[in-house]
Amino acid sequence: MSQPIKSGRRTFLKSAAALSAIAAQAQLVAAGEKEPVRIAVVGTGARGCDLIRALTTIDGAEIVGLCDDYPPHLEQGVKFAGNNPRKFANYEELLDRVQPQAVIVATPLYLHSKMCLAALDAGCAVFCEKTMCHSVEEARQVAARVAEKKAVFQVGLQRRANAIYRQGLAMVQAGMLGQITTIKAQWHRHNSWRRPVPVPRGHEDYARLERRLNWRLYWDYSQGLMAELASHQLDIANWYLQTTPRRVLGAAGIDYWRDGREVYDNVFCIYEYEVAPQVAPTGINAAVTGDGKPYTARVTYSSIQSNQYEGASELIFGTRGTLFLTQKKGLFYREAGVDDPLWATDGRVAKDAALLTAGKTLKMTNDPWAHRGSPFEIDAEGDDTRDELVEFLNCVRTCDAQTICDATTGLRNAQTVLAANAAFKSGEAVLIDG
Amino acid sequence: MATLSSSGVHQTHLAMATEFDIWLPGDDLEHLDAVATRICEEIDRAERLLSRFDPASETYRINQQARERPLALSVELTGALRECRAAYRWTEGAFDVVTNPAGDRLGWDSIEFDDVARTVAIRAPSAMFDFGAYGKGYALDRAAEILAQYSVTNARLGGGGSSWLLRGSAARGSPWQVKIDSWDGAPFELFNGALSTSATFRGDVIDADTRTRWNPADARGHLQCTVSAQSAALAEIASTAGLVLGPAAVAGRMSAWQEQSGKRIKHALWLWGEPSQIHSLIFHARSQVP
Ligand SMILES: NC(=O)c1ccc[n+]([C@@H]2O[C@H](COP(=O)([O-])OP(=O)(O)OC[C@H]3O[C@@H](n4cnc5c(N)ncnc54)[C@H](O)[C@@H]3O)[C@@H](O)[C@H]2O)c1
Repeated sequence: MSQPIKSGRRTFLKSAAALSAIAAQAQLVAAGEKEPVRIAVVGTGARGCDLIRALTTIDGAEIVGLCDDYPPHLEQGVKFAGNNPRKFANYEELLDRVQPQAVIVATPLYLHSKMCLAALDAGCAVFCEKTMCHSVEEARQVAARVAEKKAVFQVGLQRRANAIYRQGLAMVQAGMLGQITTIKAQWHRHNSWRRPVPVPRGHEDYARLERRLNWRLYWDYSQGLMAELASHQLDIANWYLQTTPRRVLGAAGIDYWRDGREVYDNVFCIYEYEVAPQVAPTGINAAVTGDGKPYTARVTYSSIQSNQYEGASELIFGTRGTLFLTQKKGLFYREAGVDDPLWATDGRVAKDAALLTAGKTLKMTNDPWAHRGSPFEIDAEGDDTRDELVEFLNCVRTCDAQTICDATTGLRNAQTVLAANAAFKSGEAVLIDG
Repeated sequence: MATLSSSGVHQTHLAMATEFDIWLPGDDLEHLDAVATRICEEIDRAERLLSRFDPASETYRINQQARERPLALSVELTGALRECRAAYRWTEGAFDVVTNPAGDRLGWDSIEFDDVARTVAIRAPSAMFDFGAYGKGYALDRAAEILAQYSVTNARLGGGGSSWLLRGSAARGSPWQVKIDSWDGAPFELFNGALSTSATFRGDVIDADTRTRWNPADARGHLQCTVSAQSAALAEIASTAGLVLGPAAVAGRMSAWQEQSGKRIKHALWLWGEPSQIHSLIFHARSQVP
């Protein structure tokens, strides 16, 4: 990584990031020559269809069965699959009749655990959409079954396959951010989060269909914004800090969309992590970590649905720099006023001499963001949804249980997000079981 | 985000370097708002399929990697390529999504597209797919499917002012009024249909413009072709080709176009000239079909 920095290019990480995308592609080519993986998709709603579309562009992926108990969605899935797979309304029947090698579970959250367990018991590899389960208890049960079966299991937290987030992690691990003390993440949108219902209000099926299609808005089926949105971003916190939080404080409410929903439309929380000191890298990144003792890092998270100004992003604040991350773009700002680490000075630290020049006058500015300086840009190519499936299929082919987001990672993610809901409901700080 | 008023839901949405404009008149605001959001998601999805600029789109991946080997295509991109290849043929090359970085239209000779096996390979080093305005039309057609799926009968969906898709009526059963900018013809009325305008401006130096094949006497100034058709993608295809070929050539081919498009092209209007003197020629396709 030092090479591109020395060249002074602002997009110095692009080539490195692109390398990981190319690597995933290359593995796939090799795997594509083998027998196709026989896959079934359970739940062919919005996300199920995203995954089906991505699968159809992957060599060596064969969709052999689809299951959805809502016929219009099942037909959508069949249309996108394009190869006329077998159709089912009942997932147990699908498992029994089709005996797929791998099953993708993309149903509402409350169904994940029972569908994953059935697929694992049928001997299948499982790709389960995030969040892993509706309760921590269920997630523990699924993780235990995965371990017992030594199964290939992956949770659909696709930032784990995204070249920008991987690049960010590499930068953290290389010490470029110094000690991470704080992370700020948010997903702010401006819409009701409601799906339309295909029959008019007053129709006898309206109430049933409304709950089915808007399952996200009701606690029986959903865990609200924390499970649907925050799970992605708090996974980044767990991943980058290499641990799970110890406790969470928070407040939430239904503040704007008072339309009969049960889940909050406005959530704010603070997580505390006990972080082990980073092992100081040697060589050009040396001397960039803290005092070597464990410390507390705090992660703030918010999601609102009445203003989209901040959008969705994560800011990773370290003593040496700040990473701004989104799925399509990363920016790295070096912390102003901090001594340049060796990597930024080409290995030369010239504090023992005074260099006399003609001098320079800086422009006066009232730009409130001037202290940030100009960032290094991180760009990458590729669709992380497709890439996470490529990685999953490679694990299925090689019977490699170490997927990019395994059951333990999924369980920790579920613990993290569900604890916030407990904190909102109780109004108290909630401890998270390590 | 949407603005809810007593008479309907209005929402604008940025995608495909265009501002989409969604107006759904009606009373059930919660329903219309949810449909408008669904339409925005669908437009974003179309962008992730067809954009050549989005590094996560399927088209971007094809443009980057299909030179090395044939790539598997999604059902949807296969469908879009099939429609574009057919249009390339029936417009005799005037509508072409195979381009190079300079924007030259290259034709399909260098493309190996198998729409049954759903694979594509690009055999010329600089060739790539650029769906251009077709992407907008494609997105509006998908949006129209959402309208039908959720029984929304009245809608005005716009793509950057040059593309409109109209459904049902504007208010109290009256048709939508369509006014073509830069033309002094009277507004016309439309209940259901799609409209697209392709335009170019010729300055003093016109010899470098190889994109149009017709040369009206006073070829300087504004050149425009507006088409109304049953689908928005078809309106984009026909207006692009109409701008390239000009009215005389299209008149001779209109029956064939009608045949090829399943009689879904309705009207075409050409405008050309300096702002002070705009010439026009309108063509009602139906009357030309025997
Ligand atoms: N990774 C991501 O970026 C991402 C994005 C969106 C959704 N998701 C996740 O995907 C999952 C599905 O979300 P969605 O937006 O597609 O919801 P959805 O409501 O659009 O789709 C869920 C589908 O499951 C079907 N279903 C419900 N009960 C069933 C049953 N008993 N048997 C078979 N099918 C059944 C429904 O009919 C529906 O078609 C959720 O867990 C969600 O969190 C992930």
